[in-house]
Amino acid sequence: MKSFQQPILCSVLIDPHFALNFNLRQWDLLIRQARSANLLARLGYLFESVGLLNQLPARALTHIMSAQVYADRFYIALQREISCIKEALNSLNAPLVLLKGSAYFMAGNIAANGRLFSDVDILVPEDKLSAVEEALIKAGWMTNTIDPYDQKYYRQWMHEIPPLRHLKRHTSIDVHHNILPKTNRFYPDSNKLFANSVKIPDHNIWILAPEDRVLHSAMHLFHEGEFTQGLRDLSDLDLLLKEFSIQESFWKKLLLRSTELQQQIPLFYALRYSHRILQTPVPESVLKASKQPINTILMDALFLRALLPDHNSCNDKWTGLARSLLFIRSHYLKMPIYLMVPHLLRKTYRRILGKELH
Amino acid sequence: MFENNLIGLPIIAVIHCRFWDDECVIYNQLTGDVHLIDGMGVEVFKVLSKKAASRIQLLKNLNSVFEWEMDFNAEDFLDNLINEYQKLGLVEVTKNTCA
Amino acid sequence: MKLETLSKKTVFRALNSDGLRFTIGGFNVCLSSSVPAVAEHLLSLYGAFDVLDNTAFIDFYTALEPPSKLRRFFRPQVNFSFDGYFPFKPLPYKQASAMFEWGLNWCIASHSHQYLIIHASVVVRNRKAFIFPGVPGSGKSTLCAALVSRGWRLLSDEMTLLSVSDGCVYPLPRPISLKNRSIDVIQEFAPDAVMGSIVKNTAKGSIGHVRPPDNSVAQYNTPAQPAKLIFPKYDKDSNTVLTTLSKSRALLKVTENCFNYNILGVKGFNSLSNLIDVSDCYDFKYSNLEEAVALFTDLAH
Repeated sequence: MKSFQQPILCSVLIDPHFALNFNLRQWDLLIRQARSANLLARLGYLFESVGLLNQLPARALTHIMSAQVYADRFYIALQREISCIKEALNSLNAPLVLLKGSAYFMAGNIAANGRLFSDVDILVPEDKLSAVEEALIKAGWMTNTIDPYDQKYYRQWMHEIPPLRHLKRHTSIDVHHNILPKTNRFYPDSNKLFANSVKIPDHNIWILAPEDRVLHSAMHLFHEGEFTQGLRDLSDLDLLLKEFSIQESFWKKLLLRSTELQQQIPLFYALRYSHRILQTPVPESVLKASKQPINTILMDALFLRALLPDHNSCNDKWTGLARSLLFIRSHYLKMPIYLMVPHLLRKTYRRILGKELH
Repeated sequence: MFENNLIGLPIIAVIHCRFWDDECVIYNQLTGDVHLIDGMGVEVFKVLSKKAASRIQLLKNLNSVFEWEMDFNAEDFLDNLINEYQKLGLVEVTKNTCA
Repeated sequence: MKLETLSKKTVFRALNSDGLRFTIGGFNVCLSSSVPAVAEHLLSLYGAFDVLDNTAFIDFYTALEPPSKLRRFFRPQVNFSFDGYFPFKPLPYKQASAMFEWGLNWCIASHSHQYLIIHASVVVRNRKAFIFPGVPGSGKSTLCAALVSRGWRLLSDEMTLLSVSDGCVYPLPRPISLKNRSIDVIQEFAPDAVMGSIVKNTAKGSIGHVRPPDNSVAQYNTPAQPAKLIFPKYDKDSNTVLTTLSKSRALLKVTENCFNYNILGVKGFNSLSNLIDVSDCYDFKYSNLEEAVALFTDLAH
């Protein structure tokens, strides 16, 4: 297996000035890699932030601006969606914690720039789960699936409710009571998450504390089976780490918190791969302190492929295998073997039929 | 409805108005909805698109533009219109407690 | 260098290897395909477009290939891909050339938000652009093909590209697509029009494409000012009737005929409002093409 070869998209994410020497073919490759990684709008914000937007070749700029038009519309819709959710859950007297993209957006994190996603994710206390589901249904959301197997998967095994979809707006909401499935071996204490959460000024909305936001992003990415958004999620981590580490105490807080929530392994992967692939400035001492007893030769071979854009310019002959192995791994982490094997068989069958939901 | 209520375009949802002849089209930026308004509604939005107005001011403006039939209740008609527009998210009504 | 100056062999070779690179108006395309019908479609209908060398920036990398080796021989199929992504389900192999056109439409509609894209034909006479939004049954493409055969400049048949920044209509003078009876109608109305192979049994029936006039293609960099917005409706029993449509109602009607209006948000609303500002708006009913062409030619003066 050949060693890691950096796609030009990664080089430009590390330093946008790198693109200034590109010929037109390299520019169109950059646009294609960015599009396939769902990073085209973010690339635009990056060039804008360093004042390079007017130096782009006209066609490249057109593609980037087209993606940004889409992103701008997305944010307006997201703002509306968040207020509709708030209104629906107002009467419940339960803290409404936004997760991931919605959280970055409300917090004004750099990671919100150019980030497009399909669901709003919220975190509510487990004992309020039924009341929340009821309130959302009353306000016009409905369960996306009535397939009994999918219902069982979510409710009985993952202890979640299936994603809900709004009848009129066709938007989706994912309601969680924890940031990992209950069947996961290293299941964090959700009370700790709530206790540490941060209120958005002037809104009755909460988000996870910065270190928890990073850990959640790391947990989500490194427990995930599908990596179509892999580089995007890694870029989120890169931007969150850069933003939060301006505070000196951040790295220490992050390491301590990972131990508290039993998430040392996802943190190790997050720091290792954002440093390797996107050159995130993680201090050497922090990399050392985060080390875990893991076969890094094997995991590098898998993640250094799977985390790149799923584009023929970035894939090699082992990429497909790497993705498949990580897919199986993610299910092994999520559920015991006696559930996993039949579940994967069913998933494969349904995928062939084009009916897959999760 | 109180005499002195202040009626204006909503602050949160950005409302865009375009006027042609005796009709107007309103775009709600938050929802993406488009509405066709004709008749008295056009005059209402002509005023509100410039700035918020009190109920009395709106009535005065309508009286100067339209000639009513003897038994036509312009106040009730305006109140109903404003009510409809409020439901559609096109206007916001703030109760004015000043005399 | 025009595509038609290349030999058939060169075109086939390019399509089967690194891809044939050419421009289609404001967009640069690279197409790979092992399907002979696709090569023939390009040669007969895209001959006037410029070929590009491999230093050019390509906007859309596309391919038309059978979905698997098995599907080359058993109930053969073809599928369209955009840079490795498949937006559609496979279609019968014989529909490859139609699929190329649909695929290109999808590429442009999905990735060109510098334009407000109206589902409309647009033609130019006396530097005035006439826009014909098309619901099914409107006959917009038939009208478009008829006008173009009588000397009007073709800007676009399927998608009117209205620039968000300057309000002009930008050309996309690709082959005009005709369905079912319209194919016979235009073959009779304009016997000199060059038509590609007819593709039968598609979801929309039989499809044929008319080659765009060379001088329309030559002007692919010249935008035009909108002047008329006309909603056509073909009705076999109707007289030729043009009725003025109120601007407000025209605006509402045209918002229902856009590909990316919702994505553009307020920019889309403003672009369409500006279009309405500068255009005379009409409803148009017709059954006779000659009368329709005469009426519009008059209107253009």
